[in-house]
Amino acid sequence: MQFHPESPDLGANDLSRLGFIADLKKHLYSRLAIGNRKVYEKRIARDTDRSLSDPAEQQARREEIRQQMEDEPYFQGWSAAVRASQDLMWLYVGQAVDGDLGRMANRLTELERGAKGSVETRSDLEIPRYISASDIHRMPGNYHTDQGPRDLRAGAMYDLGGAVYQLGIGNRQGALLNDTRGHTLVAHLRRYYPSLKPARILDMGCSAGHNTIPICQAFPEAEVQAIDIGAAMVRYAHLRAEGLGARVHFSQQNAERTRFEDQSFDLVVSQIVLHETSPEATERIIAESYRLLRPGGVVVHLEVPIRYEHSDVFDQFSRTWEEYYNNEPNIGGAALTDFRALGERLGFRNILIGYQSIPKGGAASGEETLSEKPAFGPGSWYIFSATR
Amino acid sequence: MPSVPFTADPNVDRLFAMVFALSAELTAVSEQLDTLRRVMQDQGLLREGVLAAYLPSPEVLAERERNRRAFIEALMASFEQDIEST
Repeated sequence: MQFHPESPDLGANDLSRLGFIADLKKHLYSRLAIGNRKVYEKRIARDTDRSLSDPAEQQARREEIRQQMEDEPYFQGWSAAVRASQDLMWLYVGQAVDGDLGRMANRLTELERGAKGSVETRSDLEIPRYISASDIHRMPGNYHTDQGPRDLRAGAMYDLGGAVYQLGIGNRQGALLNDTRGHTLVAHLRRYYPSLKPARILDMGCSAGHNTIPICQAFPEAEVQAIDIGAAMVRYAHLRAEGLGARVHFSQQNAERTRFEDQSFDLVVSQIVLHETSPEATERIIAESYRLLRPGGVVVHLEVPIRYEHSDVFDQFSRTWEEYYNNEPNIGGAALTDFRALGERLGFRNILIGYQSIPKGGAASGEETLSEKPAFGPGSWYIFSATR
Repeated sequence: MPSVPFTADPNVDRLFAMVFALSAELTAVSEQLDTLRRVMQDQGLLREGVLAAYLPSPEVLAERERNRRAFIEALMASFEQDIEST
């Protein structure tokens, strides 16, 4: 059983175990996370917490909250349960993937005959430290481990794990193709750049290519390039895209400094990449996106909808759980990045910033808008877009 | 003489033993199902490959999901008790 026609094939036991883990995660986040806030409000909160606005003061207070929460049995138990479910998820995902790698390798060979797109890997690419320092999301092997010239494991792990994670946060529709980011980005373009007809598009940090495909589908005439630092990641992305009928040229590159020429793209995007780098790399990636953009071109950097200016200090602490305990390198950094100031400094014009609603039912209608503040209910992604 | 517990809370040592007994019993149940499948195939009551090819319908998936959620609710009930009493 597969989440989509090219995803790892799950046996009945794989499906049962992963279904359990997904439902457990959902329970932990939707029913039990509230217990952490109750503990904080009962024993840790101070009246001044709500009025703190200076980022340095907020950071200091977050640290204090964290020290105290780590001594609370409820937080200890909840955190241990979340970590255990995460590690078990990867264990089961790994078992499912390893059982299907042979078939996937044959499928890659089959799809390579008459491939519409392509893939290029570089074994000498230096992996940035913010990636290599720890297994991001505790995924064994991380994004960049490459077991050989035909290896697909990292990409398959990430595709399947991502789908289970989406199920675990209650997103059944999105779980199948895990592409709500791509559709949200297209919705943003349809609404705010309706006359854009890009001939050449770049997706920076594409991982398994699941969010590249909606962009291909929106602009079927365009040449689409997509890059990631993982060889097994882009190889799997190539298999997945070819199997699903999308024409993408994947290559193993570092988004901070690509091999592409100046001003050679009409549309440059990144999708939930920046929070997995560092504040310095974020600036370099956005600067690189400027360098690659033709005058009149459009850049869109899409991120997780977590902004510290829209969260109280306890919410900020909750968000940084991912950074401290789930190896997310730069959740805090991304939540604080002043994209407007950064964009202006780099020379971008007509800057748009806000929360872009995820289109209901998958595809963009052209009506979905940016809002300044996060809205309850419908999900959204945080977007910075601009022109050169 | 009672054994000295290894972990700070002696009830944690106890939990190891309970989890292992649970695992052994689960192994027994899995192997019982395996036996059932093989015997049914040998007796011609079940064609080979039928179980592996079984695709649960949306109704079956929904029922399994309900059962799973009820199980998880029971499994994690002690957390909810804490939320109520905080």
